[in-house]
Amino acid sequence: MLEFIADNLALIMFIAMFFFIFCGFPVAFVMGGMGLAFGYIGWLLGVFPFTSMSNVILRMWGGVAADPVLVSIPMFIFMGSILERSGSAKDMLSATEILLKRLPGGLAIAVMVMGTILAAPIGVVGAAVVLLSLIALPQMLEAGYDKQLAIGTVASAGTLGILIPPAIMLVVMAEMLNTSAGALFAAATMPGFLLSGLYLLYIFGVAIIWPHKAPKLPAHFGPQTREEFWRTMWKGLFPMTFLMVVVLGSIFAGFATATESAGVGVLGSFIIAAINGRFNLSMVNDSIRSACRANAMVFLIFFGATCFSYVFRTLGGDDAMLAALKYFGVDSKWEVLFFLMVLVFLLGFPFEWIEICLIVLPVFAPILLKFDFSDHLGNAAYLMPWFGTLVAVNLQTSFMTPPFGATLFYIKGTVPKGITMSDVYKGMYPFVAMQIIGLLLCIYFPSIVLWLPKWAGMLD
Amino acid sequence: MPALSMSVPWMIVSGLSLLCLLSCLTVGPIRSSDGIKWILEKIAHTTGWCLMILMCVTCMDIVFRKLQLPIALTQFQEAEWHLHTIIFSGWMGYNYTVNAHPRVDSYTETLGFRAKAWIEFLGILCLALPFIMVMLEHGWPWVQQSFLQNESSENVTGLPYRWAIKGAFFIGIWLVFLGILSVFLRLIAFLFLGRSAEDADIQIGHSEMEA
Repeated sequence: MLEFIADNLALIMFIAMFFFIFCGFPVAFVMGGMGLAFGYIGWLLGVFPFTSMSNVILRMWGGVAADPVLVSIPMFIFMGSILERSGSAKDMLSATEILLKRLPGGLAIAVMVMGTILAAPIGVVGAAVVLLSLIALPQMLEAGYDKQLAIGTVASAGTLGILIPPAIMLVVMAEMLNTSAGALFAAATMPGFLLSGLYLLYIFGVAIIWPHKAPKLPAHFGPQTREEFWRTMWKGLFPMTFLMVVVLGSIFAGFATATESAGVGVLGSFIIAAINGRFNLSMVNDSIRSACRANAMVFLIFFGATCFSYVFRTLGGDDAMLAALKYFGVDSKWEVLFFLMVLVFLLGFPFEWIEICLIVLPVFAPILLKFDFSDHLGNAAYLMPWFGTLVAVNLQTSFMTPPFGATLFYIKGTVPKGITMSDVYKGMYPFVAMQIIGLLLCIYFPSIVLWLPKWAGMLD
Repeated sequence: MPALSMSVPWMIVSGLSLLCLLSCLTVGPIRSSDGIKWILEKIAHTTGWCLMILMCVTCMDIVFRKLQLPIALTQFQEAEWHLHTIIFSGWMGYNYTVNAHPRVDSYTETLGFRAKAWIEFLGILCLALPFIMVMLEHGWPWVQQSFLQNESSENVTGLPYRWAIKGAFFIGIWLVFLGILSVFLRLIAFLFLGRSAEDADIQIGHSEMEA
């Protein structure tokens, strides 16, 4: 019995951790504490040298604190919170609405465009969805939109934010997959646009076939003179678009690292706030506090996960996991990939992306690396950016899938009265279907994912 | 067994516990907990402003590099992650006292408040405290050695006093310890000393993930 436990300690640890995480105690402490507890059990059974716990602190320092790339995380969050709190985000939504008011479904398209550009830096799924839902949903309902279409649009636009760079999830993922943040940004860009393109087509189609579901905005909406129109564009749309182009363009063109372009992004969002006359001490203070809070949350989990994965590795977790997969008949590369996709999808229901990136990726990425995907991708070095993007798209799908996706509950918490959970569910189905189509396209045609990083020369 | 000799972190922990016990006896556990939270809040709000410095340093780094001024840019790049270390070290402990660390509570959400408090109590006792204690135990010799060698950057042109920033990280772990202590005192007051839930004002349960 003891021998069995000693041999399979890593697997027991992995399963036990999930049990304890569901107790509702902060994830960071559960992971750190489980790492410690199983290190101790391993030491009692003679399979783990307990003195090597001192390596954990070295890894926390060397791998997390002293990593120059991870500095971009607080700054991207900071940029998002400045844009949110200074009202620039709201300006942008109204400017986009005015720009698109003559199109069928213009308001929904405006929400989608704003989600694509703005939700990106906010990074944490809940925050982006809540923001969009508070700003845009009442407006859409007031304009006479079908409530299911409105909800679907807001939820999918909000979750796009975790996928489209500069999403902080991609920075964390790149760290876990040992690839560069820039390459993963580039890889996730086209799938992000593909998805938002699919959404736009759908909204467009609905607006043409059933005009009552997505009515046009009345002609008296927004500015009436040409001069006023351009002033709104100049204030709302132009600065934000320019900022995003600068931030992403400098990374893709190789001018700046992710950290540097994040610094420029923060400066830029301050300038935008100043132009609009909303730069004041309380705004800065609020933005700093919310950014620091989100940042510390990410990093404490990082430290807990470092302890967990160190002990897991030392107990021989990688090989044990591979053996377990073989035992259940998952041993060809496509089976392993399929298994991982299903696993990530299911884990996306209870977990936020932070936990998934820090628990699942370090455990399973080395297993995937043992297989050769070069016949499908053209080069074995392309595997990690491709895989990371698939996980990102998959997670986004999972977050908005009824009945457990986290986004749905955030939406339900912010919708006006009279909208039931079943409205929320029904609104999501077409969007989830498009997500799955998008994910399958990315799997079958890896060039969707890989052409931008290849073109930017980031993979060689 | 991990050696239980009185190393410096253990001495500080015993000192702090004694201090806590004293203040609990004089002003009560909730007031003591409020005191700890106040200290953590001040530290967090002060270190938060490093984000502004971080932004300036990053932008200067880019400008100087593009202009090719003869300035050692290694120092700027190191300053970036040094500042970041200060920021998250200052905030991790405070975050716990305001319940900003995410939880997976889909299954425990419906439990009563007392049950949740028990989970939190046992979680702190069995998972959080041992983890932080072991990190403190192993962190001390690591900082001490760095200080005794007067360690500086591994780059010739880098920043001096590497031990200072390692010390900041080590202090950050201490702040997490203090944060846990603050929540723990409230839990004790609620679970064992008969204080009401409003009185104890324990920040547990569903945390709002706001960014």
